[in-house]
Amino acid sequence: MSVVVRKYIPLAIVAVLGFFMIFSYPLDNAVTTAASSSLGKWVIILSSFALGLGAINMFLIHGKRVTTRETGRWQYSLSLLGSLVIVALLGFTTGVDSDTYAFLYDILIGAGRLTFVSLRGFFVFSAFYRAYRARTWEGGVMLAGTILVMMYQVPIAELFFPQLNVFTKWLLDVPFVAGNRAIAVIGGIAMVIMAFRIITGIDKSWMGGSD
Amino acid sequence: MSFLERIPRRIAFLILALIVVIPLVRPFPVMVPISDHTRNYYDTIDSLEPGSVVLVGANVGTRDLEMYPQLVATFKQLKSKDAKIIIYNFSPGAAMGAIWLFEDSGYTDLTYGEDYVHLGFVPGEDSALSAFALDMVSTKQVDHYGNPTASMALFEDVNSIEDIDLVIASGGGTPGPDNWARIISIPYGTLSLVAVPGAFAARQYDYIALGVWQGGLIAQRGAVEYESLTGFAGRATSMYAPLLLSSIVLLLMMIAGNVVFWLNSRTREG
Repeated sequence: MSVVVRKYIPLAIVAVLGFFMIFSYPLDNAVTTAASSSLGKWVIILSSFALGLGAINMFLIHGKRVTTRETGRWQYSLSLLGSLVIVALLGFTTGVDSDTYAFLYDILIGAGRLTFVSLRGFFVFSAFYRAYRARTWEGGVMLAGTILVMMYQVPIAELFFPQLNVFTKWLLDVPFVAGNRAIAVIGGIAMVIMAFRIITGIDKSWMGGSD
Repeated sequence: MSFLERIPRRIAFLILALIVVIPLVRPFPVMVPISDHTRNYYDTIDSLEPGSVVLVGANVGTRDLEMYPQLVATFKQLKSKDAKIIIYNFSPGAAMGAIWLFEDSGYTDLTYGEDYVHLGFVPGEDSALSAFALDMVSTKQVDHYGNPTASMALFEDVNSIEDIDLVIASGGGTPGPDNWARIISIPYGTLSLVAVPGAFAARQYDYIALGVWQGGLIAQRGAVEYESLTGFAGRATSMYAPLLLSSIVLLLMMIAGNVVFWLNSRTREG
């Protein structure tokens, strides 16, 4: 494949569409709105294909593990592929809203997720008691903040120490929001820079190469 | 003293297990003060006109004790206000949860396609949501069950975000409420609410403070407060005592652990 097809055409498509999407926002007329809406629909179609591609990729990676009997891993890969096939077949044959499919989803994924979250509660409980120590003054401030916010959320403070709650609410409304907003703004600026680097072709890592 | 500083993990697990089990065996009522953001959430829905159209980004895949009861109670209040619901899912698992939500809130007693629509999973995250906001019917041409959206009564007068009276963004992680805020609520200024699990609440306090969300249900406590306001007491309320007790004991153990650590440090230094 020539370098033009492999490199320059994808870069040109990204640049043209990227700049179009940026400028269609402030232009806000019927033509650009319709065009950007169409591009959005393309994403839905491409994302649907990506789901199928993901399933094929799973078969390639885990199928290889099963066929080569990779030590300590092939059993898990087999169960993964088995589950994938059974759930997909059931979905295709009985429909995704059938009682059988719903039952399988509920007892496997639903119960599994809730079990995982519940178990996490035990680890958090143990870790908080055994490891959350104010070893430095910064750690002490963090611990004090944790205790205050927990008392606010539980809500012990609201019931027994209303004055303390006023301070905790200020902590959440002012320093917490300010810090969070600063992180969001920095993240936003980083996204703009990243988008600019991709659209202008400075960053080509999405093509599988390096900068 | 040093034993108290590092109680073995098994004992910590046993303590938590006991704390969780006791209120399950002998349930007791818990009074929770109503937060401002929960009250605003309730008031926003309460102020809807009959026939209002509500777009719900429901990312609930399990019958958990946080988002699921939040949304069941929300749907019940929406039903009491004769509101019409359109559900949009960011994940395939959430499409299953949406069916349960309609069933458990009583929406299935109403007319499908006219009073409520389940659009199902829409791949494409931000780009898809952005296109959907501009042109709903042509972006999502069939619903979760394969019915054409163009032939549904609900979509006769509704085809863009401008026709939506209220947006409710629910879910944890990405894609989730952040996407709804970024793509819908901020650029279009649509009246919006949020319902999130505790682990993903941090960012939402900021959006509530900014007024992006008019109100919000945060974690199981939010669900309990909201169930209390609506009068639709559900699983969140009945299962709040174990959470409350374990949180109090965790708080006490955390303080005790640090006091013991501090005393032991002084002994070691002395």
